[in-house]
Amino acid sequence: MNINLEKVSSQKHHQLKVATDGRHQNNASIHLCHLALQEISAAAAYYPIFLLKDSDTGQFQPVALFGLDIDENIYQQANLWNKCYQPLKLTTQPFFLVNNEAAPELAINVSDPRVQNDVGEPLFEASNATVYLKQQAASLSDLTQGFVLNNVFINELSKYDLIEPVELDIAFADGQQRQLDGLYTVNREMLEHVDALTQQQFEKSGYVKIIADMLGSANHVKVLIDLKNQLNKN
Amino acid sequence: MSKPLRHVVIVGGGSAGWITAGSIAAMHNSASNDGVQVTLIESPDVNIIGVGEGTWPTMRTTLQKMGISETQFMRECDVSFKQGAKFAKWVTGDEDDFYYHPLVLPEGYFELDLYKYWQQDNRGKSFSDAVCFQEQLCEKGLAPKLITSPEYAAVANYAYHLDAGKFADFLKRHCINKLGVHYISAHVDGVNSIDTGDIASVITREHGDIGGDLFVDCTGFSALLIGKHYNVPFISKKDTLFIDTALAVQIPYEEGDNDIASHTISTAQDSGWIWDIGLPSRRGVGHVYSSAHTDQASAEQALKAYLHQSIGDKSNELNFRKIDINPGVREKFWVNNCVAVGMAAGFLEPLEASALVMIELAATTISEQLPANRQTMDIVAKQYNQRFNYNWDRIIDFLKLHYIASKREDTAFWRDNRDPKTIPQSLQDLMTLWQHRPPIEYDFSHKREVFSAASYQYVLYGMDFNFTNPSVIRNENETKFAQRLFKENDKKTEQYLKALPSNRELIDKVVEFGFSKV
Ligand SMILES: Cc1cc2nc3c(=O)[nH]c(=O)nc-3n(C[C@H](O)[C@H](O)[C@H](O)COP(=O)(O)OP(=O)(O)OC[C@H]3O[C@@H](n4cnc5c(N)ncnc54)[C@H](O)[C@@H]3O)c2cc1C
Repeated sequence: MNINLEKVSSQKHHQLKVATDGRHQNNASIHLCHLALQEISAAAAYYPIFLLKDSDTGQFQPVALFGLDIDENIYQQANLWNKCYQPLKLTTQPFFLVNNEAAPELAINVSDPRVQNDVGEPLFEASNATVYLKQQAASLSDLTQGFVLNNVFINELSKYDLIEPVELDIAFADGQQRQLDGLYTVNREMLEHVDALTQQQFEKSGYVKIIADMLGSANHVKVLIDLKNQLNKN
Repeated sequence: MSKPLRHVVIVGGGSAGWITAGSIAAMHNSASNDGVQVTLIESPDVNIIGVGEGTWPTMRTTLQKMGISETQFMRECDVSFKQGAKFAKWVTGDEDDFYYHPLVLPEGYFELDLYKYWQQDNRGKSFSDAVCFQEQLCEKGLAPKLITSPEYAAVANYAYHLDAGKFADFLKRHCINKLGVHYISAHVDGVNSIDTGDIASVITREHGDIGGDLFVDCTGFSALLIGKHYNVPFISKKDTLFIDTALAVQIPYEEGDNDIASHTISTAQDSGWIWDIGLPSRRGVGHVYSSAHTDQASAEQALKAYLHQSIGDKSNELNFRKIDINPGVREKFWVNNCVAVGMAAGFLEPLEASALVMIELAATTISEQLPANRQTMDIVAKQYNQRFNYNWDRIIDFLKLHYIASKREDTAFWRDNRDPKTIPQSLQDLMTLWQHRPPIEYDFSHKREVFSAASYQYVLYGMDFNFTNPSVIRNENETKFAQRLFKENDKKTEQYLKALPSNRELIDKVVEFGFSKV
C-alpha cells in the first residue's frame, strides 16, 4: 500500500471525500490486525486473538487473526467481513496521527484509493471539520491511548511470566497441514498462581475479563479452518 | 554421623568468586532458611584482575540458571555478541591468511563427517565456510539472533564479549539481592585449622574469624588458601605454552565507526598474538607474548603498529597495562575442605577464552557434587581432582594445537613451538591419529568436554592440516548425503544473511526494548 501522508488542512483538503461504502477498501489481503486494549473483548467475539511480537521491536502486541496464511482474509472470502467487528486500526484509516514536535497532528493518506473528490464523507463543510472528521480524530486518539494501555498490560503479563507460545497445528480436510508459529497467549495455569493482591488488581483493571475473552477466542481458529475447508470445496 | 554441610565460604570477589557463589546459591536455595548458606569475602585492598572479556556459549546457561535476565545483563555489563574467533596470520603469516573457529557445529555434525567430502571437492571454500554459515555472519558483522528471539535463545549459537569489571559488579548485586549470598568486605590474613588439616575458619583483618564447612579459594594469582596455606605445588606449563606477559588497553571507537565485530579477532605476531574484542562502547585490545622471545619495548611497538591500522597516530599516545601471567596449573584443586577455582587453580593464555568456561564448569561441578557432609567430601574431592586434571590437560592440548599446526617459520617463537619436546604426549598421539582420520567425538568422550572434536576440526582444517593419506570414499549414498548437507549450509547462509540485523543494530534494540523471556 502506498502511503503519502498530508497534514489535514481545511484549505488544502476542503474538497476531499472519503468513500466509506467499503467498495474501495482492500481488506482481502489482510491476515491480521493490531488491536487496542479496550477493543480486545469486542473483537474476541469474532476473531481469534493472540499476542504477536513486533518484528522491529520484539515487543508483544495483541492481534486479531483473519486468516491462516499470509495475505489471506478468510472472513472476507466467506462474505462475513461486514458482519464482524471492525478494529480501530482499520476503521481509522485513511487517517493517521503524525508526531509533530509538541502534539500529534491529524494526517490523511492521499494515496489511499478511498480518498477522492466525488463520493463519500467530506472532511470539511464551509471550512469547518465535519462530524465524520471529528469522529475519525477521536477514534485515532482512542487507538493511540489503547496502544499505551497495551504496553502496560503486556508489561504486567511479562512481569508475572504469564505469556507463553502457542503452537497451532492445523490440518485441513484436503489433507494439507500448516503450522502457525510466532503466536503467544496467556498461560492459564500460571495465572491461577499469581498472588491474591495482583489478582485483585488484574480484576480492577479489567485484565481478568480481557484475558478470559482472549483465551476463549482461540476457538475461532476452528471456525476459520471450517470456513476454509468450505471455501476450498467450492 | 558426620555433620551436614551447611555453610560455604568463598574467598575472592572476581569472576571466579561470584560465578561460584551464584551457582551454588541458586542451586542450593541460599535465599531460604533451610538452604545452604553462602558467604563471600572480598578484600577491599586487592583489586580484581578486571580483564577477561570473551566467554563461551556456556555462559548463557550459567546466567540463566542463576535467574539472571539476559536483557539486564546485556544492558549493565556493556555486552556484545560473540560468534567465535577469527585467527589472522596464524598459518603462514601472510596478509590474507585467516581462518575461523565458529561456535555453530558443522552441518550434520552428528550424522556425517563432512571433512573428507570437503577435502575432495572444496568448491573454493574454506572448511568452516563450507560446513558452517557462521563465518559469513561474522564477516558481515551480523548478530546471531533477532529482537523477537527470546532471551538466551539463538538463531546461531553465540557467546558474549563483556566488560569484566562491570560483570563482577553485576553478579555481586544479583548474588546479594536475589540469591541470598552474604557479602563481607574484609582482607583475609590467615587460617585457623583443626588437627585433620581442615580449615575451621579464615582470619580477617576487619571481621575476625569466619567459619564454614567448605572454603572456596577464588583469590586469583595470590592463591591464598590452595597455595599459601596448603602449599599445593604449582605446575608450570611454560615449556608448552610460552606466553607469559600481557599488555592490555581499552580503545574508544573512532567517530563514525559504528560496527561492532561479532567475533574475537586474534592476530598472530612475531612472538605472541593480539586479541581484539569489540564491546558496544569500546574495544578491548591486548598483546600477549613470550618474554623469552621478545622484550616489552618490541611488544609495545607491535601493539602500536596493530592499533595504528584502525586509530592512526592516536596509537602513539596510549598507555598499556602490563600483566605478568604465569602459565600453569595446581597439582590438585581440592584438598581437605578447600577447593580452588579461577586463577587460583590455574591460568593459561587467553587464546580460546577458556578461563571463564573452566570457572563455570568448576562452579557447576561443585554445586552439583556439593558433598552432603564431611565424610563424603574426600570422595567428591578425589573425583573432582581427576576430572579437572583431565580438563586442564585437554585445554593445554587444544591451545598448543594452534601453534603446532602453524606453518610459520619466520621467528624462533613459531619454530620453538613445534619442537616435539614442547608438545604433550597426549597431543602428539592425537596428531598421529589425525594423519589418518579426522578428530571425532570418540577422541573426547567425557561428559562436558571443554572443547569438542568439532573445535579441533575447525582449527586443524582451518590451518590447512592435511591427511597424509587422502581418505577413501566408498559409499555413494553418503556422498549424496554430503552434497545435501553442503547445499543445506548454503541455503542457511543465504537465509540468515538476509534475515539477521547487524550486531550494533540488535545491541541497540536490546538496550531500547529488550528481549522477552519467551
Ligand atoms: C590478559 C588476560 C586476558 C584474559 N582474557 C580472558 C578471556 O578472554 N576469557 C576468559 O574466559 N578469561 C580471560 N582471562 C582470565 C580471566 O580474567 C580470569 O580467569 C577471571 O577474571 C577470573 O579471575 P579470578 O576471579 O580468579 O581472580 P581475580 O579477578 O584476580 O579476583 C581475585 C579476588 O580475590 C580477592 N582477594 C585476593 N586476596 C585476598 C585476600 N587476602 N583476602 C580477601 N580477598 C582476597 C580480591 O579482592 C579479588 O576479589 C584473561 C586473563 C588475562 C590475564
